[in-house]
Amino acid sequence: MTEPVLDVQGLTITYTVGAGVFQAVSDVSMQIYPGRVVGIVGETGCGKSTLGKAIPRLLPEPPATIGSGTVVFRGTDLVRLTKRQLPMVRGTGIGMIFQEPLNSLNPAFRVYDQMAEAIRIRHYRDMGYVKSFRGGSMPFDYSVRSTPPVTNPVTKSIVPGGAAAEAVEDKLRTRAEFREEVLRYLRLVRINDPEAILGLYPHELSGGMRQRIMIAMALSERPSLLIADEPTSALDVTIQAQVLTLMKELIDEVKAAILFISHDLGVIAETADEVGVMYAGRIVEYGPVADVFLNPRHPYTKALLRAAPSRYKSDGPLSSIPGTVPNLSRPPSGCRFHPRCPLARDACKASSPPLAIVGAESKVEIVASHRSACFFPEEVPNLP
Amino acid sequence: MTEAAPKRPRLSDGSLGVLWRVLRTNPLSLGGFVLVAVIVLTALVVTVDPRLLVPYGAQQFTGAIHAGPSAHHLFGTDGTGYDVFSNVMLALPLDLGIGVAIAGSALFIGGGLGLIAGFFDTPGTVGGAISVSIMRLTDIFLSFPSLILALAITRALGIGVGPTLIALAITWWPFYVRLVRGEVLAVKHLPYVTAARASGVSEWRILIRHVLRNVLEPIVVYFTLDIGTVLVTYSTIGFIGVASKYPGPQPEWGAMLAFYQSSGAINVYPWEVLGPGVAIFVTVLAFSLLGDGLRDLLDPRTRRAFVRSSAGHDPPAETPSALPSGGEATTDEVAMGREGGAAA
Amino acid sequence: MGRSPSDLIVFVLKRLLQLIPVLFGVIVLTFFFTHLDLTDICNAWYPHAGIATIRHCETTINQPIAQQFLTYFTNLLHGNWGASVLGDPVYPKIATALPATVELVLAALFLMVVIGIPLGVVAAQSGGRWADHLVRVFYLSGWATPTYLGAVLAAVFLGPALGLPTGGEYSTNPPPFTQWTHMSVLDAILAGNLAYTADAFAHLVLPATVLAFINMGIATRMTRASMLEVLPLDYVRSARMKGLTEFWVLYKHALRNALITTTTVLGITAGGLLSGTVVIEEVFAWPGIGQYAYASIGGGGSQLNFDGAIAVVIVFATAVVVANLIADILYGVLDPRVDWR
Repeated sequence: MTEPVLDVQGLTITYTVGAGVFQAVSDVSMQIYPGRVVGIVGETGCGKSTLGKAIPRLLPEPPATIGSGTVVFRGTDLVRLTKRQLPMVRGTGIGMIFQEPLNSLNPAFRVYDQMAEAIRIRHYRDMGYVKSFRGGSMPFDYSVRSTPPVTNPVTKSIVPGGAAAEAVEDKLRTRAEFREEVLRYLRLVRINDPEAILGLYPHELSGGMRQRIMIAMALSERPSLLIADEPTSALDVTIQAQVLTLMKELIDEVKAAILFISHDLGVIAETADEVGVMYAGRIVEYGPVADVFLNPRHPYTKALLRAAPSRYKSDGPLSSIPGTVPNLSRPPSGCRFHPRCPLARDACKASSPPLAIVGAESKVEIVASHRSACFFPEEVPNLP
Repeated sequence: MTEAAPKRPRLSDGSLGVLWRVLRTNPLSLGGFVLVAVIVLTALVVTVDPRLLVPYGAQQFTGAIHAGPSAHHLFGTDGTGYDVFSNVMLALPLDLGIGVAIAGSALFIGGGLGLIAGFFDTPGTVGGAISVSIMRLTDIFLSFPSLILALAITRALGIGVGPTLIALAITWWPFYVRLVRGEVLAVKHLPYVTAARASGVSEWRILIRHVLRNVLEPIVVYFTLDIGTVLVTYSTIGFIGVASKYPGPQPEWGAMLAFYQSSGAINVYPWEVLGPGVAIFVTVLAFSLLGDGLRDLLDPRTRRAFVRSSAGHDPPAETPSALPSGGEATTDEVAMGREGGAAA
Repeated sequence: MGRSPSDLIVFVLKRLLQLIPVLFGVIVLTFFFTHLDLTDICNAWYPHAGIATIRHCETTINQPIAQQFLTYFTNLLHGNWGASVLGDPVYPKIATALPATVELVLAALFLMVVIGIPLGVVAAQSGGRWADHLVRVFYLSGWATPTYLGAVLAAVFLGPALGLPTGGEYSTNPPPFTQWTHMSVLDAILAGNLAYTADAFAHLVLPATVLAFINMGIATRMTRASMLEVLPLDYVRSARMKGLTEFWVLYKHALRNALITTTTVLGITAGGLLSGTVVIEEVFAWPGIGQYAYASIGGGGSQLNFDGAIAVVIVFATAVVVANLIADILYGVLDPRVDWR
């Protein structure tokens, strides 16, 4: 039986701002299995980005606090790690691609130095020089690259020519070898002339190029879990398409577990295996992408799909969801969607519906079943 | 939005609500605020009726020579038998007054010139030419370490409080020009100023109503810090021996220090030096603690770390500003330069 | 991109050209302000100078100020900086004093960088908590300490307590070797004299420490402010996400960018450091330009040395302008986005 790479249970994150306290993420549970791509969609401010940053404990604490829940990554509960242990999880354990490629590279260092730094971190950990980082004890064993599941370990699949790559792994001693490793990853993200950009500073590169470098940098540490937080949203539309194509190709090559966060239903539909729909800090619907998007069982998902541009569906009017996103410092009682929901009744105001399985239970264990946090999933009308 | 949001929180928001917020969240600034209040109050009392707080006259023989600190003589007595504490207290109104007067004169002269230089900077106009000449002159003055120039001028004018004040007034204004001009340039192209201009509001009215109001707060904060800096510089001039004479009917801290230090008794009678020394230290520290905390709030860089946006998410990330080489200094840089220039 | 070495040279040359009008203005203003009111200046010299000098003085003073300035400026252009009442020429004094002051200022600057900048990082990291308060009290204390008080206290109490010398550049004066550069430590090293190197170094410690302490706030406050600005930025988060420890995130990725503004401000600091030398050099008997300024201006009741005072102001102003230029160049070196053109 396969262990999930990441197992989030009942995660609640609150922000304290002045006298106000609000829950940005409420009672979120999810699992990501090796080699699977899980998408999270929702409107701006629904807590999806907070969730993504909370997993590697990247939120500034305070103002953010992890109120309850566990985030078990490869057997270690990250919520319980001390600040000194956290760096050991990041990079080689969990990699992340951010929304803002323009500012995510350090403006003061050359591309080569920033790439080489990432590779050096991974290399040192591979070689067991972990003590040289003041991270305290290792939270888990780095000699095991990824949980050994059905798929190949990440290492062998990303670098073209598996056997050669294995030989490379222990021999990054000279500068030339580091350089070759940097170039290898730049080529992996389809940069045609990687030698030319090694000596450049980030401000001399285009946004798309910078995001490719960020992706290369994250991959070069060979993480077992990659979190992509809206990696294409800040880019021009044409560049978006290129980077998205690259991401899709890499997902096939990398075989790492991926958490893909986006507000764009189309992007999720094209990339993810499973999808969680978030509303006001909660996951309201979860399941295989095809089930959720073709047969939504939560009125919010339904409304979201209807509001999406028609590129992703055949026809029907483009509508907006009535009402406004709730103020999270004073969320509505019961189901948080009830003030905007066409199906709402008294029961919805009284208590919060659990994320219950709808339809047939999945037989394949690794694929999550379709679940919805609605008391009346059967009443959600089918898509036109 | 007709009256767009100003670029920073203003002290006037909610009747000094921001001031209160700083003081509440920042114990250091609160301490500074209380100290400043006590010092100003004491100075007022001493001015109105010295007998309430000051046990002896400036040149009153107490009967004890080189007596150590005691209940009767808080800071002891000196070699002539004068009470050090009384002299320190009697010097307070003068020293504080000098701080306020010099910083105030600089505020008006420099602030006025900065306002003109910032507001009428259109090239090719008379205003533009005036603006350029003001800035050239300011640049020249900015390259003098103010203490040195003030010393030279004082010496040329003759020893005494008056010449020292004139010398300090001559050297003190240029920082305010840079500061105010920078603020005006930052404010004058904001959308709401453009909107006011587009709706036919006269230039003078814009200057007074919109620009001046926004410029005022950073200047006032800076003024708070500056009072302390003036004090230190003045007392340094006093120490070098070209400002006030001591002992005399009107004591002054710097001159007191110079006198007691040069009498060479610091090893044996340290209270004589420490009395005026501590007085300067505490006064300047009080104004600095207050001003430093206020500036934290008004500086857009540090503000973000302390006053988080009500949205509650990560503070908005901004592109780091790439200052063009040789371009306008930020408020803080100018301010730091002044503090550096005068912390002597 | 205008970042080639030739662009830098053009930039520096252009800035040096801009210096000329500023320096001319400095000389004019200094001369004008110091000659505002000179009625009894010649009589003040009476017991020290001969009658001839005083007659000469009076005829000079009675000339129109423009004429006086022309004479002074012409002399200056010919390298004649004038002389004191007693006939000591100004220029040789400045030539030996300036290096000594530069040495002291550089030592103080070094302390400000190695102590003040890390303190700023610590304060920013613990923004609003006790470490931040502690650091702020520390630098504001330096700020609030009158230079002479700090210097006198250090000379009287701290020096003897630590066994450090509190006066002069060496224990024996003059030292038994040629002072090529007039920078005490450098001269001792050039002479290959280890004992004197240590001696010179010990003499440098106290004055440099006091000068640094007084001005510490500038480095610390600016570093703190820039770090607070940089820390929430995306690239700091990416650095953290790479798996770097907090130490490297702070001191490599964040500080490298925060230093860009701190450097600029340290350049502006030059004025403060120079002002500080006037009192500190006097208290510690450091034979630098600050001590010369103190004596020329008539500090401690000494005779006014007019040409000396004007020369000192001009030298200080020039030093400030040059320091600003160096800061500008460093700014461009540190920030790869700066275009020299």
